[in-house]
Amino acid sequence: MSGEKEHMTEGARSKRQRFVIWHRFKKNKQAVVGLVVLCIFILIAVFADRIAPYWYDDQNPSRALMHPSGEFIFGTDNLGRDVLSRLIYGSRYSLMIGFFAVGISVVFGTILGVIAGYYQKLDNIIMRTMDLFMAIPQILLAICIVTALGSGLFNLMLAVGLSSTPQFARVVRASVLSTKEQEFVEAARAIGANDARIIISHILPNSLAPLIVQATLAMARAIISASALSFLGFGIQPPEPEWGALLAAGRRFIRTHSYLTVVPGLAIMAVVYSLNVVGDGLRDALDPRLKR
Amino acid sequence: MVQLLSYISKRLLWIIPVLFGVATVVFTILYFAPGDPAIMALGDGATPEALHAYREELGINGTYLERLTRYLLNLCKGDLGLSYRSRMPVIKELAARFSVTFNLSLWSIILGVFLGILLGIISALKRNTIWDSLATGLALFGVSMPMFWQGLMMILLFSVHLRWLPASGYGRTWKQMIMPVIALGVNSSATIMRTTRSCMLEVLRQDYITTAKAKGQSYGIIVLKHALRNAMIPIATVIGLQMNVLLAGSVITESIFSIAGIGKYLVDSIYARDYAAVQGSVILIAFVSAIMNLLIDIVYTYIDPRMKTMYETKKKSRKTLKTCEVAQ
Repeated sequence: MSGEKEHMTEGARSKRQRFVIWHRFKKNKQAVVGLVVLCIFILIAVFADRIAPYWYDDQNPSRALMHPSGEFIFGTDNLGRDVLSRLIYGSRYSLMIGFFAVGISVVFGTILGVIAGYYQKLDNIIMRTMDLFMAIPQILLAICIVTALGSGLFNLMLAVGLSSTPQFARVVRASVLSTKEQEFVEAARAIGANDARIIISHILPNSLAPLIVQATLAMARAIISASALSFLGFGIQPPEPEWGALLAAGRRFIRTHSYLTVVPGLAIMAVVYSLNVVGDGLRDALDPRLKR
Repeated sequence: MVQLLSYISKRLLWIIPVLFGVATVVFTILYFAPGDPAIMALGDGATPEALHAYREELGINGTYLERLTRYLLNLCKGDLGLSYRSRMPVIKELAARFSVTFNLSLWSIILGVFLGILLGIISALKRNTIWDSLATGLALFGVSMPMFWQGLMMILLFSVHLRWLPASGYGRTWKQMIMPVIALGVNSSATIMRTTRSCMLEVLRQDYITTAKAKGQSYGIIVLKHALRNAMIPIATVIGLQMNVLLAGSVITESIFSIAGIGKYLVDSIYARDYAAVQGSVILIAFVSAIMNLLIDIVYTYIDPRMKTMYETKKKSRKTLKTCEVAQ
């Protein structure tokens, strides 16, 4: 058995490892359902212009505020726009913000975390700075950044992404610190590998598991934060159909046309819930020691 | 004891650089905010002299460094500058609203801790039963539900349809507090529940639990005294983190339920581009959460003798006592 393992090529081993992880992930039914729901939302976002019955800003006063019916499954808003179409186009915003905001925090967090963990001298100054940023609650930090930058899709992503960077820096630093002392890092150094090579091909791959889990769960939080900011009017502005902005617009009609506030919230929750179960499933699959 | 006191005073002193650091960060971010407050207040037609006088009055003239130093020096005196809108000291406006936000957060954290720990214990004890799945499912639901939507749905159900509770306001009857407290508390309880569950499961596996069972200790004492007390450190950490989330969450709940607290003040200040007020609110919230976290730590060292000896001997790091993962 051990001989067979030794002869396995690099590619075959990582393929086998991926299979084991997938196998463990598959056992968690909830996580699989979450993954499927997530894939459906991604497909909806990608093919929004084919699926949506109307254009998201297709105004028509003659059909304003119509309750849900066969023609308009989720009704129409005060400008006569089809809510279903707006929701379908809106999925693009939420998913994009979730993805890119977390992308920003992964990139910055990894760079800061690796530097802090690998170079002892810079550790204190970087992590104390991160502590400062963490002392400001995340949503308030995001509000400050978006106030300074102005509203809009890109600024919203930047605000949400930057405000969750410190958490990633912490996670990456912790796993760099524990990997740094391992023998294979010492071996790499012994054969003359430089810092960049050690970090990229030996330390980072070993920090990947906690990073992926953190990223999935952070994506859920990013989507909630971004929609909260849009809800308050600091994020995506009308007529763009972001889900939080839809909720804010529908709020005025909560007494008479409650579907305008119910449906967008359900959409946000479906995506966030799926991301959370997938994140939990991934954590159990990637690190069986944590499974309970 | 001496070491414990020195630890507490060290932590207290540490709050000061954090406060100034937070103030610098917030000041710097908002320095780049668009719009000139003087022109916003006096209009386009104002004379340069009038603009200059206005800036002088509010202390927003000069370069970045001059303004920052002035702001930090004033902060030492407990002065957060003048509001651009009302030209009143920001600290006074915040003081008038503080008790509302603090009250709401306090009741919410009480609800969150009670519900979270209770459900966490139940699902850990009844592991892999229907109760466990129900409680973990609910918690996942709670974590995934946006607070602002939850608030709106409660308004829809309890105010619009059932007409049980008033939809907005604060201070007239206790009924007005119910929905905001639930909106904030349920979210926290979900996080606390997840941590409690995983920590309890970890502790219940330990040998001393088996020992306690073997010597015939009653079930309630095993759960509360042997298990929960030992699982408390990570749970306390999460409660501290949730305090920050709750104080910040007031931004959302107070906007939904029209409660005149710090959160609503902050949001309104952003709409009015009153950056002095925004800065002041954020700094105050960060300051209060730092204090609350410190309090939780101190209270905890009194409850758990292990923590006390730890500061006295200084041998172990705090991390070694963390038996399980802290949910975020």
